[in-house]
This record gives sequence, structure tokens and C-alpha cells, in this order.
Amino acid sequence: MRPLSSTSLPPQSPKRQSFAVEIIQHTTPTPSSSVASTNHKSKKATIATHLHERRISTSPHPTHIPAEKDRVDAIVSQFTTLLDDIFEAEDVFNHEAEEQTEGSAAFFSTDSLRDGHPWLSKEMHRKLDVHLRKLVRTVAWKHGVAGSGLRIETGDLARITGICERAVRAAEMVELKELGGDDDPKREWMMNRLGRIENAILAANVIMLLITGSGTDQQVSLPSRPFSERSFTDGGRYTRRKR
Amino acid sequence: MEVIRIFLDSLFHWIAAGSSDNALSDTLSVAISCTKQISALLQNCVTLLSQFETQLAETVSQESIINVLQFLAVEAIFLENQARDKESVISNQSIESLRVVSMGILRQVSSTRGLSLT
Repeated sequence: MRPLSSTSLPPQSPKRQSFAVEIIQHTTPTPSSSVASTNHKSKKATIATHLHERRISTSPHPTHIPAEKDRVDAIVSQFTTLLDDIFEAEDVFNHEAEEQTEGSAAFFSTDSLRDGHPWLSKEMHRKLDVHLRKLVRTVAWKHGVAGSGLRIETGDLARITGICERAVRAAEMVELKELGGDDDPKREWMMNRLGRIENAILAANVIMLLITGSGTDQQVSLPSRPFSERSFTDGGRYTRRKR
Repeated sequence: MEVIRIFLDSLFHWIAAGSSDNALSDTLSVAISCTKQISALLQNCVTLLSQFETQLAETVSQESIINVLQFLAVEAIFLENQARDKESVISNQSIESLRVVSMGILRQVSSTRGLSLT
């Protein structure tokens, strides 16, 4: 969260001035803010003392954290709904059926529909990637807003990781250097194999996001623990499971 | 990891084959006809490699993974630019983004092993 400074607010409003002090006091210091704040700490403390009574009663935006909480809740809800849909499609999937259901066709790669354990399509991997990156960008993820609702079952995460792993394993034996002797036209042969590899790389991206919880956002750092010992609790951060 | 290795190995092979004066092989000709898809794939690959870079900085990774990353990164950094950009499998710009992420990986590998690049 970007810290607000009192200079960004109208100087004539005592109420707004007190709000700025409140935000600075309650913000978890980031590297950039902590450097700047060292010289001003005593000044802020003095202002805070003078305005203590007014600050308690006049904060103009008390809905700031609830609004963030609602946003996080919505993102989590979308993500869990997507996971539920995927799991439901996997549960009803029957590879021996002559005609696959619409759900199977929508969620799983067409290459995998003949197999007992299907893997997701490229579109689904992209969707998961987008949802996970949205979660990573939330303030709750970074700072652990109390009661943010950023809770996702570890079992669900393990299951989706397993599904993504299938796509990666399916592409581990693909040969690209030499054209195959299949009857397929050469270009189609290449496109088919490139498609499999692309799907695997997208799946690997999702797995990495699930494992690290950080993606390309360098600000989020998590402790080095095996995935099996983590869960999405504690305000969105992975925590060690109690044994 | 194996998937990235397969793809990048093939890419390096095609780039090397494209740089030589010999007639284009069948596979290379087909690969050139799929340039758009290969570029998209390389972009995804770069994203994944950048995640590996982050992971290397934060956690202890297996030696086998670090070795593969290191060798791929070294090969990517020393790839030659294509003289005829339009007739190659991949554009020089895409190769450049691969080089950038490869340098980051090498830096992380070096710091993981306690080496200095200077």
C-alpha cells in the first residue's frame, strides 16, 4: 500500500491532517517508506499525541480496509469457484464414454480426453495463472490483513497442482528436432507438439505460482518450506501445518 | 524442467542450423513456418524462467535443477544474433529477452553456490 503523506491532502483541513497521521502510524513499513520515515518519526509522534482524541473519532475513510477485504473476498471467491468447476468436471469425466460432456471439452485438453487422467487446456492454465497473479497482488497477501478471508483449502491446491503436473509430464517425451514418420502433414505435426509443450509450460507456470506464491512480484518473499507443509491461511500467506 | 530443456535445446539447434550455410533441413523449414507459435512459446518460457530465478533466490533448489538452468542459461547468453531476422525461427528481440532472464538466473546460481561473477 502506498503510504499517504500529509502533503497530498488539503492543508487547511484539520480533520484530513489527522487522517494522514493515522495512516502513517498503522502502515507496515516497506523498504522505501522505512528509509524516508526515520527522520520524521519523532515529529509524527508529536502530532499524533496532539491529535489523539480527534483521530479516533474523525477518520474520514474507515471503510478502506473493508473495501480491500471485499475485493480480496471477490478474487478468492472467483478462484475457488474456478477450482470447484475444474474438480467437478474431473469428477464426472469418463474417458470410456463415446461422447465427452461439454464440461470435459471446456476444461480439458483434447489430447488428454482419451486418457483416464486428463490435463487442463491452455485456456484453463491461463485463467488459473491470471487468478493467482491477482491474488498475489492483493494487499492481504503481502501484509496479511486480519480476517481478509484469503483462505483456500490445502487439499484443493494440492489437487490442482496434481492436475497441472499431468500436462507437464505429458510433454516430457516430446521430440522436436526430428520430424516424425506419422501420416500427419509436417506443419500439423510440429504445431501439435509445440501446442503440447506450450500447455506444459503454462502448467509449469501455474505450479510455480502455487509453490512460491510470488510469481514475478519480487516484493513478496516467502520462507523456504516444502509445498506439502504450506497452506493458504493466516491472511493469505502460506503457514506451516501443525503436525 | 525437462520440458523447458527440450524446447530450448530444439530452439538452439534450429538457430545453429539456420546460421549455417547448408540447405535448410525439413524440420527447420517446418519450424520457420511456425515462427509465431514458437515466439509465443518462448515468451511463456521466459516467464517461467523468471519464476525459477525468483525461486532460486528464495529457496534451496535441487542441484539437478540448478545444473540444467545453468547450462541452458549459458547457452542462451552466447547465442548468436541472426543476420537475417525475417528468415529465422525466432527474432533477435526474443533472443534478447531470453538472454536477459538467463543472466538473472546465472546471477542467482552464482549466489546460491557462493561464487562471485567478478
